[in-house]
Amino acid sequence: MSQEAPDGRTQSSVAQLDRELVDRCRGGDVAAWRSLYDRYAPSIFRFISALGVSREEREDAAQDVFIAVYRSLASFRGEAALSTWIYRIAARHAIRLGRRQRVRAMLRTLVASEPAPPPPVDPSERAARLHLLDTILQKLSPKKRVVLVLFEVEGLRVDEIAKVVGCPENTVWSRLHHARAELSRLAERAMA
Amino acid sequence: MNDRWLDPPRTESDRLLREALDAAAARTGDDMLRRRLWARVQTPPPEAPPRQHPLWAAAVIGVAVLGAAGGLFVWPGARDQRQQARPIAAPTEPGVVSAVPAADPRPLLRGPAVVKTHVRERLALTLPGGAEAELEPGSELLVDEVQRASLQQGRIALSVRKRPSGEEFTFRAGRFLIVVRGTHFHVRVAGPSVGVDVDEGMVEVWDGERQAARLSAGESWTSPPIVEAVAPAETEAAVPAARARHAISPARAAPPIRQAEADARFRAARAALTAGNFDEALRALTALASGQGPAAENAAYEVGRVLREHLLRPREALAAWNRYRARFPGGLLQAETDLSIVETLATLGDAERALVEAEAFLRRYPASERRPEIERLAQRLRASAPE
Repeated sequence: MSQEAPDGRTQSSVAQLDRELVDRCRGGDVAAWRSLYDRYAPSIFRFISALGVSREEREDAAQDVFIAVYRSLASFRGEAALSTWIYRIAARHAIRLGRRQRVRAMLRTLVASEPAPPPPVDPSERAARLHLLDTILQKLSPKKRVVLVLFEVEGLRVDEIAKVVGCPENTVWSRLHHARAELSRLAERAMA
Repeated sequence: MNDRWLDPPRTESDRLLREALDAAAARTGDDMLRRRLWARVQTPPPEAPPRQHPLWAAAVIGVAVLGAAGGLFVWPGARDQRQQARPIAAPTEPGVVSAVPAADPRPLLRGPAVVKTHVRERLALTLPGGAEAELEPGSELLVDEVQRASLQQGRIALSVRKRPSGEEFTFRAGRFLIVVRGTHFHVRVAGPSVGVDVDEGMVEVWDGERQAARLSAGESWTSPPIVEAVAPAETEAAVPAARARHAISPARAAPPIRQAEADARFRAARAALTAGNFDEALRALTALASGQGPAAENAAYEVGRVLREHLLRPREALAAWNRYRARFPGGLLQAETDLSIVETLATLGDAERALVEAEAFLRRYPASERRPEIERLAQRLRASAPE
């Protein structure tokens, strides 16, 4: 998702279309809501997956994000792009969920006599790569993880990321730089 | 487009990391997952209304802040309430038609489409095939991609002009097919119960291969109560086993439950699943599936998945999915259900039925992401079929 439409429409025309879509959703237009869902569902699912939401909880988390988007439509003023605004909601949700998952995992190891069963393993290479990435991404701090995922996986520009996370562009660059360095180190260690 | 980090890679771990990032960029979920998710978000629960403050409080605060007297100040909550989105009443397939008619008072409804009327709304339509219809308040009508109309819930009045001999108009309600040649009649659907009232002409009601009723002007018919809805593809052995274990009573479908409650129950079921409590998850989903609406549809499909994948009872899974087909013809998860049936039949070694289902899947869903693998499966099944 980015502010420039693939067919070359200008930023302002995309923003206007976003506002019209949101207005129609607010008015109870089903087709508009479906249109918004179809446009953003793939990205949201990809984003929350990369942010570390477990496979079992991804569908629930994606549902939470869309319900939050729907409920927040009244507060969308069109100052940021619709995509930015939706990513912001998704990032908050995913980070909150990640915290809850870590607490639960910690409680499980403290309380349970046996560790939780491992998730089923998909033997394909692609799945192995994804498992590696998911594992080492979890070791990054949430702030670095969000910036890295938005840049490397979602393909957002730095100025867009700055609006999603609510920090200056320089901070985004700094977090990205550190996140990349840390990810490389973790990947090397994982392979060793 | 951002520059590609680690391209070209300098080390083996760089290469793996780059490949992993590319795989993550492609991890958008398949179309079936997106359809399942849509079933859960298409009617989001409405916002809780913001707290209302009496106008006198607003006036006092206004005076205190501005030091001015007189006038009325609109409290922010009221302003936001005017802007808040109305809860969506009508779901959901691509190409959905809004329940609000266009300038034409009797627009032609083209599928795939779902139309729902509010509790105080009537809607006059023309159906594919030319029948004039009036959908009554609180009703839901579905037209699928091959322009077959079916009443999911509520009541509809239909007028069909007399047709030449051999030509018929057909209309679905629940598992019944209503066949007419020229008549005016009403169809009622309340959960699994279906009724037909004929004003003029002649109407036939078919239940699969069996004619359930033939009605003349002035006659009415209501479907008999049933223990379970069973679709034709179900095996003989699966039905008694399914009935023994999962005593769903669709003859008395549970009243619709609110979306928030349905969602909470669905999550509880999934949590039980994650924790390994498969029987508890199955009970929760089965209870939810006996209701109505998208949550019940979702749960009805998930019952099959739990049976097959977690409880390893594939024949009962087939029964569950056939119940889904009977209860939700043209439902949101029809494709998932059809695919699951294909896979399960193939796993059970029922090559003949698996091939029938696979070929039907390929005809119905030419653009499915799963098409290539179902084509390969169909080829293998054909190759293994006896001469």
